[in-house]
Amino acid sequence: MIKFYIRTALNGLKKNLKLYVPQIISSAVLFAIMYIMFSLCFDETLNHSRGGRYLGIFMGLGITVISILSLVIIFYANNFLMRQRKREYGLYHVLGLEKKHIINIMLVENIITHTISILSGALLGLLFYRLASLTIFNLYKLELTGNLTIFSFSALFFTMLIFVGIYALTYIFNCISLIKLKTTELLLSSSYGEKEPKIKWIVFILGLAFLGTGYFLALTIEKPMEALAFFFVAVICVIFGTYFLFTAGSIFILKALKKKKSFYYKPEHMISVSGMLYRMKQNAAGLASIAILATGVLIMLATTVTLYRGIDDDIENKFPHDMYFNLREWSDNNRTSRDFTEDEAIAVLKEACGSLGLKVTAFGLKESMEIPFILQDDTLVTAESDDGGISFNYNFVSRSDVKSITFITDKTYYVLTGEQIGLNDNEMAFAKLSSDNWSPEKVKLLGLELNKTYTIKKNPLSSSVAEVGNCFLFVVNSDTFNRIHMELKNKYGNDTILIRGEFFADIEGEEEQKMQLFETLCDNLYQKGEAKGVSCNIYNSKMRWEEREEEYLLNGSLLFLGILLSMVCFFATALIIYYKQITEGYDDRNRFQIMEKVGLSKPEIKKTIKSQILMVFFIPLLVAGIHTLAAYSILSKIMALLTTTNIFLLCTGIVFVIFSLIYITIYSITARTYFKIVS
Amino acid sequence: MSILEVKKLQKIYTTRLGGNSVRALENVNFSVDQGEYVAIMGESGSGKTTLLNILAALDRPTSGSVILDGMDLSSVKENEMAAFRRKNLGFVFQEFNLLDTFSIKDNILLPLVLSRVPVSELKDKLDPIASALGISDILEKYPYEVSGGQKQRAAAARAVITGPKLLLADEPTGALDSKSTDSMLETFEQINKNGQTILMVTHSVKAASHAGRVLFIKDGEVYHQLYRGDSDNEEFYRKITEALTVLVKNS
Repeated sequence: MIKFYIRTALNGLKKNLKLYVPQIISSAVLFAIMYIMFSLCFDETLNHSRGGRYLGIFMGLGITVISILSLVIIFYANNFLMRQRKREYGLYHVLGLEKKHIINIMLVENIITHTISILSGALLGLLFYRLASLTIFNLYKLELTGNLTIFSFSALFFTMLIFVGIYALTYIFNCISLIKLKTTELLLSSSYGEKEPKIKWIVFILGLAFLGTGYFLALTIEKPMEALAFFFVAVICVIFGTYFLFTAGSIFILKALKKKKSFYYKPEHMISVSGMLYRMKQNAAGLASIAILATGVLIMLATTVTLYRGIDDDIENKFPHDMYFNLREWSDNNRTSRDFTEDEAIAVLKEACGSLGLKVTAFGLKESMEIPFILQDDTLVTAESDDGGISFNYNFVSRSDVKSITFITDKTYYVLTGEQIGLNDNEMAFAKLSSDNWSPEKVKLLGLELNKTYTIKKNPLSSSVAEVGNCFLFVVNSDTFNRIHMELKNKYGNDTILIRGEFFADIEGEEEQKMQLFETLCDNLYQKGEAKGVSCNIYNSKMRWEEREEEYLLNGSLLFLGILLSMVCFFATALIIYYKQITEGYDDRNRFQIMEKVGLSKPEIKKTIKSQILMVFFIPLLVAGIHTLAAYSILSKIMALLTTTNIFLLCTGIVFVIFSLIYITIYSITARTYFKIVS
Repeated sequence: MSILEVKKLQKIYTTRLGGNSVRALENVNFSVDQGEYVAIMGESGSGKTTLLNILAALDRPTSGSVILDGMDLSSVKENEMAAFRRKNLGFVFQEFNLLDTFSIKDNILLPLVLSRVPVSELKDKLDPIASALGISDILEKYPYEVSGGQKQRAAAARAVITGPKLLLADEPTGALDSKSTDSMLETFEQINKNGQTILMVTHSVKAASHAGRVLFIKDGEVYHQLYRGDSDNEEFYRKITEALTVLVKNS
């Protein structure tokens, strides 16, 4: 009996090779990607490198997401195969096989295909593991030291655990649906009479509402923090909107076209419009899925590529100097002082440089106060929290009625920009740091009256102030700066820390020497601080080189995850397209044979087919393009929180072009299968 | 005046490697006059379907000629064939061959649309035919929503709407129950009375007995033919049965 099962199963597989090969390929690719992710998690060399801490987190996240995606994709392929093969199983049943025999045949078939999937997946994983880990090192800009794992047994074990689990689920699912079916149903071909679809008005209106809301959010939100908060709401709205509109909206449009008689009764329109109307009912969900997966891939790649490619730009903007040390205002015994005066800091720096034989090329001190105010008429009143102090609370500062004002002296402004602006006691230079349009000629605050004498166009603080809330810059002279400081101290007490100080330095020398200097400086400052009885806040000290490395590790991990996820989504898209071409091919074969008999020539038929499937398969790409365009608006605001680079539009464009090319390739490969079936 | 002339028609099928050859049609000669209703009968394998395919210009003969209204089918170029078929021939098939994506109305209009008939003329052409065939009420329905008989009448409407020189019917009653068969045959008679030339291939004596003339095909040749003359359907039915009996005995 076992021999019989195996023979029947092999026969069944051979006959349906066209259906099984794509399933095996996509299954194997998913397996390989999962194996690679597990191996990366377990690789000693990688984990002990500087990127190890990010790798674990991101691969863990990736494994979770890809497990879910694999479950969905494998179930989709399985259901498709089941539908195609039900007739065959029905025939076995009529010929005298019991359902339990058919279940056994199915088991053998599944074991064969899944074993092939797992074996080839493991092989692919082994082959590409080295490439994947070298890619990671490359993205991290790290040198590979030590040996990579060649084969990870535990990675294989966990991957198999997940996949065998998914396969078992599909098998149980198939058995249940087989047992539930009646023989006549098994035999019934899938081509029963299809009603002409009715327009589902509720779904249509819901779809419009969802898509409208999603697009409205995406296009109108201005503030980065709101963008971050509403992004996922917009995404969910657009996903629902897309599904609903593909189902109801497409039918609405096609019906409208059909009603327009002068348009409809033309050879090139009649066949494709009615064909698509008929097809949309079955395919709306599939096409919507393609559109959403494609949008996902586009957004994922565009953002991660931008973040990664923009690192050098971003670092250049945020850290124009080699190293930064924070100084803190310190209050003790009713006296405010700083950790170090400017002269003391220079002395420490020069001493350290001297001992290492390095030269300081630039040095500067930047002091600023960032205070939240609420505007009442033309007077700025300090924004207070419930306990009566100044509120520096993040949520509070990002409130729309709060204006967050950063004060710097004209001296600091000179240090930052090299530009001298002479300011009198009641004068200020003004700059907008965020998108808010407030621009006063004259303001009152803390008993002072300040007149705007100068408007600064370029943000001199681009490095440190994120565009959160409504941020503005007031440049004032030292006397005014100190007066504001004193007023606030008097009002809110001496232990309120207001001034943030930071000194920066540029050093001539190799990166390693700078590292050494940086460490020496941190030590020295700490010791000097201890000696003075203040605890120096050296933990906020930053070095450009280190910051850059950190960004490469973080954004490199993100990009790598983005690439893997995109690959998975892409295989899902390809699989759906392929299976659609096959089902439609079989559906249409009959139809086109009839048309030939009624008097349509072969070239005419081919032309109709082409325009029809072209429309059906390029609508999702078009929709993905439009979605991405809308998402660009909201994403560019979120990206402003993450990076200062301006290459997002460029990256989105390039990603879209490359994606379209690959999509077209997949389409033309699968279209060939369709034409083979039809003719 | 004859609208169709078939002369010395021969069709030989050879396998791809040129090994065995099958003579489907040996030497077929006959002609059909304008307005005639001719049935072709024969057993399975007698070459009926091959003949019909050649007449329908779906297949080309090995030798011999088919002349439709003075035009030799072999002179029609391959790329003009579809348009030629659309213009000159109408088809009714055993399995209806209606498109499930079209309503009955659109199915009937399809050949006109393919010939780019202006939209304004469509209704004028459709209405009289639809009411003559008794399908005016189901025009907006879809093929799966109507009965087999109604489907076949829709197919007949589609076949005659272009005003073809020749209506070819391949076992038109083969998939119908007896009641639908009767009404379908009446429909054919009615179409014929309006001047439409019909050539029908059939197994069914009943169907053939409605025709004006019956050709019997055997082993790829026209073996015998019967004219209705003055006989009514029943009498003609008996004559055909007798002829068939002789046909079987002699083989």
